[in-house]
Amino acid sequence: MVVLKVANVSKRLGDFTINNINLEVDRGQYFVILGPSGTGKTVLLEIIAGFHHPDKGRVYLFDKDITRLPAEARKMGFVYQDYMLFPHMTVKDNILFGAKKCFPLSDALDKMMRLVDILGIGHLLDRFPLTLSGGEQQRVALARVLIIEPTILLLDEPLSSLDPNSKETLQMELKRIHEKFDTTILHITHDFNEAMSLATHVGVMIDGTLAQTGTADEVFSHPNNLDVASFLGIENIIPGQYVDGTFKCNEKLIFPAPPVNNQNLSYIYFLSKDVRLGCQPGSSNCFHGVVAGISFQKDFVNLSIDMGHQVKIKLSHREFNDYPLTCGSNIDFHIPASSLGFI
Amino acid sequence: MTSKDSFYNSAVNGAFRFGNFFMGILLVILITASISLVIIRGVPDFKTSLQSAEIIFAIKLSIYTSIISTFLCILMAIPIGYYLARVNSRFSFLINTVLDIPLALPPIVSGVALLLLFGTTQFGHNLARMGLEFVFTVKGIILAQFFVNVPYMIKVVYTAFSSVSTRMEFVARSLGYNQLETFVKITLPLAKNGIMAAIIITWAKALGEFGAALMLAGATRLKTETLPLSLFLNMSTGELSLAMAAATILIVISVVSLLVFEALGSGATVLDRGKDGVW
Repeated sequence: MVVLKVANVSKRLGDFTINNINLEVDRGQYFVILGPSGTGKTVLLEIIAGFHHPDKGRVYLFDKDITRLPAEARKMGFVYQDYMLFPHMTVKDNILFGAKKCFPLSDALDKMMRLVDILGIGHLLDRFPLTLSGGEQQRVALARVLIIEPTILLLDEPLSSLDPNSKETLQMELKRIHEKFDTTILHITHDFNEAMSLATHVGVMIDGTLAQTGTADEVFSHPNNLDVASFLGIENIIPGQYVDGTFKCNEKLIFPAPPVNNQNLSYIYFLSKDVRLGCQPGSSNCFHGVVAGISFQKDFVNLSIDMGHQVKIKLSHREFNDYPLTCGSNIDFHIPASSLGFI
Repeated sequence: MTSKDSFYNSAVNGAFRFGNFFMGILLVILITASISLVIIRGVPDFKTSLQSAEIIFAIKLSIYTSIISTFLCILMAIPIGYYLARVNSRFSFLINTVLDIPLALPPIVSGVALLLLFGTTQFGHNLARMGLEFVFTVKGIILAQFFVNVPYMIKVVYTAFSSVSTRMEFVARSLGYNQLETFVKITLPLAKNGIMAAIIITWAKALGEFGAALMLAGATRLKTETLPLSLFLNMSTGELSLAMAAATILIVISVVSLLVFEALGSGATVLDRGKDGVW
């Protein structure tokens, strides 16, 4: 069942412009909109919540047109990046703020006790928001919206102001909340890993337009255009063309067995971690090159191979230590056909 | 850098810092000396002056008019200040610009403008027939205080509302509260300090309002005689002890309300510790 539908929505607000956004979120989905900062993701979320009216287009909730419905009548839960807890109220009053509008006080109190138990914030009820840590504030902000049993939970970069440890814990918490409450969540972020770990469905937003939507797997493994591919952090995107049953980037880089047959393709892409060192006899897409650069990272080593185009290879430290490689070394490598993608 | 350069730079830095400090000290001496003189002259006869019918009348009238005009300012400044803090349109720009005019005008000119509007036009005569007579009356003092102070109060209230995040209001809306409820439950409490500061400084300015009130309400002893008008009247007739008493009261009220304003306004402007740096 479609919970939320955004149809052809455009809006210009200050420096932000979003263009012709179309989006459908089904019940129970964890939908992540991924995009660089400043692309208008928050504006889209605020339009859905009813804080701004779109210049063009409609917003539907359970097939009902809510484009002009005031925010207070939409029953959507909104959590901002900086949580926006009301600083003049205790944690308890913050959580009960919306609940008092929806339920009789005794019910609201019951619901609150259950929620604070689940979220582990029972000991904070009498504290004021400014005395809480980032993680605690986030849990309170979640309790404040979950208690009204929202039709959809709208999360605006909810993890981006946390330190890496709390971030990981709260990421799992969000996953747990999604399963436990069977909520539909629309979450926006610029963090690729956050999207990878949470999303069932993903939309990639670039320059105010939704460049690609689909299941997380579809989008991450098959970006449908160059912008999406480079935003998703695919290190090897090499221009070329389809010639006589091969995909040819230059004389050195010819992929003899492309898995698709399409004359209109103009880029081949593959992840640096999918490139394998060495060439077994009979394996396809084998190449020979020269190491042009080596860079050591905490968890892996990046090789750069000069093939006319730079080909990036990511190795684990163990793999790297097995091969005596220096700059200028000759190297054989192959790329499994299943790792190749074309745009 | 040679040691000669470094000596030269240290000398310039020292001279620059001392220059800034010296200017500050000079001004502090000027202000405290002049104000202290008024208080020193006022104190000996302060007690007897406070018992004079004229000063008692001036105190009562000042308090009465300033409280009413401040209340009227609040009534206007809160909705207008909020509107200006939230709406960014050509109309709000127009309102903002027009509001700046009385701020820039000398109060005595505002008084003349009010006198012309309420004293010479049919509009003024009609109001007078309905009992709203402003020329040479106590109501005129209130109107003059209101007219001069309301733009100032709007500016302060505007700043207070601007400091409340619209996102905070958005969250309240999404939790089921309409705009008015959100304003009452979230915006007003969060802007409370700024609004209190605005009320106090407006009240203090209303107490001291002279130019516009003089023009519109006149300076009639024991009729439209507020504290500043009493100071003016007694200075002109040579009643120095009464004049100094009125001045002393005004100084005390101004200084106290300034301190309260600063303490409420930003919570930090009086004792700003954020500026330390390398000095």
